Amino acid sequence: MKLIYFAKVREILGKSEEIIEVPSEIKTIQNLIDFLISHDPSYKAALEDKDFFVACDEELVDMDFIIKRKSEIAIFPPVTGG
Amino acid sequence: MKKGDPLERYSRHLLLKEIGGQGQKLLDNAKVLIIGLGGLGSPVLQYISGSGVGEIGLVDDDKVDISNLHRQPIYSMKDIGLYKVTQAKKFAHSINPNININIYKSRMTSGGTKNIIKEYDIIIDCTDNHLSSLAINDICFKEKKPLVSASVAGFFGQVTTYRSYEFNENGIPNPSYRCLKINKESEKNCESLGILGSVAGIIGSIQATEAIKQILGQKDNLVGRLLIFDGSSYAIRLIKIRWDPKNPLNGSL
Repeated sequence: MKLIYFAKVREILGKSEEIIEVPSEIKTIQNLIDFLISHDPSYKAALEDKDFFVACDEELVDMDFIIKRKSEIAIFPPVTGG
Repeated sequence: MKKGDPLERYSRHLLLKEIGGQGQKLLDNAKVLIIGLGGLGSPVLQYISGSGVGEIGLVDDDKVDISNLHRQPIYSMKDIGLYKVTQAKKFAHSINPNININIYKSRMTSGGTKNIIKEYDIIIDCTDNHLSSLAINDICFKEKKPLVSASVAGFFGQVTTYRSYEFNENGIPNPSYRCLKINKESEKNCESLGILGSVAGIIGSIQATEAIKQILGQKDNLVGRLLIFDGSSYAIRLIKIRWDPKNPLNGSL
């Protein structure tokens, strides 16, 4: 599965994208986020405030969205500056 | 007083098949409101006024500060301490004296906003805070005005167009700012997070492009799609966004 990270998430993780193997029991976006957080402390720092959007294959989705193994998951923050 | 031959001024527009004489007339007849004259509003005003939009409204209650200059290239040292709306109007007229510019020294969350928005065809949200964006979004839905909305922080920015009062080809309402479900707690602006000036320039330039495409009636636009850009990785994506049936503005649940 390909993950791409934007803005603050990219900054904390120190990478803009990666390809990871996810266990078969990971079904939803929420499962994926929980898996990442348990996987490494830097993901916990980047994702634990839940203040981000998730797009699956370039479509904004909710946390209960069912992901496919070949999906591209983008994680990006809401911003309000001008 | 008309200055400069319009055939010469807009000659590079007239060469474009997307604009030509007819498109230039559409621009001349258009009335565009730019709300917020900061990092986004600066490039938006520069390109919108240069492109020959006939009437432009400018909304901002702020004065030019030295900390603005790294990302707001329409102002210079001599403008510090003066109202942005008056200085921005001077700048736009220095590029194109043939256009009408109306100025409103007010904040968008204050009363009277609705009456200003009513007067324009296209609204461009260049504000720097969530509450203003919410207020503008709701008025544009009720007044049936296309809203070109953008925001930036750090090296990151996003742009979309809301035509929330219309329906897509499947009969579903188009999304609005409400459908993104942004919380007050998510408020992240340039004052708290910093901003790379040129990134605001890129995002504002896309906003100006989108506003012009809305005036020209181009179908391949950002309605229902959020363009996100990260100047650090150069990643760019077009994210589909949908109407949220639970949203408090025009939800059905």
